[in-house]
Amino acid sequence: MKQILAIAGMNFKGLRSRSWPALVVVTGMSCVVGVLLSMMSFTVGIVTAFAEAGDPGRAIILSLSAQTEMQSGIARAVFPMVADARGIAKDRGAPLAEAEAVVTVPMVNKATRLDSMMVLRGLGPQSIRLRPKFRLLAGRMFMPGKRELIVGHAAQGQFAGTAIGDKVPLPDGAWAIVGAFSMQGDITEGSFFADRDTMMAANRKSTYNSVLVRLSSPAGLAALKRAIAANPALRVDIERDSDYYLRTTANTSAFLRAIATMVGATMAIGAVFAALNTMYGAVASRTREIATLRALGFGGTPVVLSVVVEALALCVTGALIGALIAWALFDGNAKAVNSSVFVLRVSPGLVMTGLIWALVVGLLGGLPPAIRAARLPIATALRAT
Amino acid sequence: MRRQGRAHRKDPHMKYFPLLWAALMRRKARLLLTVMSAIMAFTLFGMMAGFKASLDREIGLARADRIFVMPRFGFEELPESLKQKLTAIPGVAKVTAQNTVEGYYCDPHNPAVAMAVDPDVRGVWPELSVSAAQLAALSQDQTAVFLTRGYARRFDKKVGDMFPIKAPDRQREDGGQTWAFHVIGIINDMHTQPGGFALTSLKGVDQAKAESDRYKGGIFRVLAADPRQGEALARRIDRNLANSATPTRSFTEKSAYQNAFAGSGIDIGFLIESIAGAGLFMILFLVGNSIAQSVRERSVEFAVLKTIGFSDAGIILLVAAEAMTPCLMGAALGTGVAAGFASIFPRLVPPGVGVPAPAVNPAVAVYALAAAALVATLAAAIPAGRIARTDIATALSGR
Repeated sequence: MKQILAIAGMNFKGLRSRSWPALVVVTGMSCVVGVLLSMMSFTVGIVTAFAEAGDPGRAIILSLSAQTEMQSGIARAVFPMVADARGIAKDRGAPLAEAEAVVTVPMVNKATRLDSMMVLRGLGPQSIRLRPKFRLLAGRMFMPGKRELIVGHAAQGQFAGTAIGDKVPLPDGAWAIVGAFSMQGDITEGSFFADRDTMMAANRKSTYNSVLVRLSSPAGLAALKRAIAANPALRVDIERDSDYYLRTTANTSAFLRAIATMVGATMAIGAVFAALNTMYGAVASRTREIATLRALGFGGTPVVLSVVVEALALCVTGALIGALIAWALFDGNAKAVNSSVFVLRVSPGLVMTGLIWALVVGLLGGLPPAIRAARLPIATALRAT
Repeated sequence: MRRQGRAHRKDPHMKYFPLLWAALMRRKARLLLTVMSAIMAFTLFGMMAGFKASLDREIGLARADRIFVMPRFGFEELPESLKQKLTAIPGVAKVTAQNTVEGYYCDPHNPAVAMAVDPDVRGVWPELSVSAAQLAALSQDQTAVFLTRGYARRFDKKVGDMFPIKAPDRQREDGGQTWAFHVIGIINDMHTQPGGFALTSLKGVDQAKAESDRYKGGIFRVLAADPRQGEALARRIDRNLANSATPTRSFTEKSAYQNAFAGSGIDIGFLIESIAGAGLFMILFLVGNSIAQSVRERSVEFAVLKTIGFSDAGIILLVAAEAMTPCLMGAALGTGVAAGFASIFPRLVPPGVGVPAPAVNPAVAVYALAAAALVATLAAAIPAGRIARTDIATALSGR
């Protein structure tokens, strides 16, 4: 151990004279991690916004085999039958269940000045109770029966014409924005909320999209599923709310992650070759030094480890610089993609991913030159120039 | 020594090649690693430039005189009767209706879509890869579909097979949700529809729907009489129908593409260029370092060359060529890898994600070689300066 520290310390002191080769590895790795994390910040942002919208204590009910709330249609008559089922929490005898409706409204994206679709969600009397995260930030709540909307704080950042007092054109004329709300940054904060029945009438919509329920207990989901299955005429599917939100974003996030990984991996392989190049060079320039140490009785292992540690240190430094650049450029940027508003995140977990990549590159790039260093025949190496 | 001798042959250009070869072969491992690094960087560069090229091509081909007319709110279908109203609007040349049966094949995770078109579709959309005879065949048979080659491959279908699509929000008159199409032909893929599609008859779909859902056009494609008036016409259509029972949202094909690529709030073009740039930056340092190292190791050799009469410019040229070699090799091979990747790309994209394959065309290859030359020039600049400043006597003494 002492030997390892001694050699490693010597290596780092020698780094100054080999600063350019070292810089190659650091720059390479910071490019790899910078690009990887910048791309991943989109995925993390989307997944976080969707995941935070889900609540494992709730379940969402959609029409049979509908993949998303938008595709789902639940007849008005079905709602009371669903709400009466076992497994749903009750408050003074009334089930904590609500039917909701969603439509999209074309709004102008502030950044691009182009039309983008924003979600308008129609809430029933129980909807707010089902969403404990809901807070009214400014203005007042919409009034049932009136053409009034409240707007999510995140949506206000992305779409033009979303200030309190602005009018939003809907099929039956202009609706007024009377308040702004927070959902602690989850995906539903990128939408409008309004009174369900008024909104459905305005859009000539005859069916609900979903039913949201609070489960009586974590096991309530199984009871609810059994109760619903007992009545095949309902033709609905039940899913834990948190699972629904993760599922709806799974395809997109998997695709984005695959693209980021592919780009990152291509660059990382390039970085491995760069690290190999640098470390072979480092070993070659220190041939005599290494041979001297070996002649003095230092073992092969400390020599191997010292070279690997040097490669790892260079890669980790590069990764940290890359992570810092990605964080400075992207962390906290809000984006609106289609009808989803989310904030890009270079999270600590993501930085860890970058560091793991750096360690892998450092190991692959450092180990072969390290082994070569340890295998140098001492007698010949001592004579090296 | 033999190589030095060869440098004195008569052809003045020939003397550099043995020198270049000797310099490159001096450290074979270093050359190999540098080339491998450059190949990876240019694979990335080729892929990114290829994506950019295919996005630009899509936007370039998207027409400003073709307008999509969609329902302004939600996903309700527009009524068939809107066709007359649209045709009557001044500036409209042609109108065709289109609908879709969207659902899945066998498994909810296997999305499938049938585009339902009118026989007059080619008037507005001549690129659609069907002939007039094929369209006529569709209108003869309510449940017939054509599949694009890609679709046929994906679902493993051939002519004569059944192709049932289960569409949860497309109720049929018979109460079912399964649209039992049968395949009557295979049509060419369209790069504007990278996911592929099935093509069926609008009338066939409309008549099979539940009574209350019939007589729907879904969406409309409109051709503007004057190509320059596309955007203005789109706005006129929306204004005309704003107070009707079916307000619309109209936009040209061009703005739809711009919206999809740039309008999502993410400048995809810029993103692609940044990634490619990061890759180049990485190898700039790598090549710069290996060339600097090589020059440092050979200062005596350069001093000898100067002594025997090589000019500074000649030696700098030699160093530049030494930097060019791995860069250009990397660019050529990397672009090749990217082209290979582009050809298998359509099979890597999950179904339903409409990402066009990168177009790794000759222009991309030229672009990559130019970028490689630029990187090599920058990488050779610093060591070249050092050579020019080298004092022969000092260098020869090995200090």
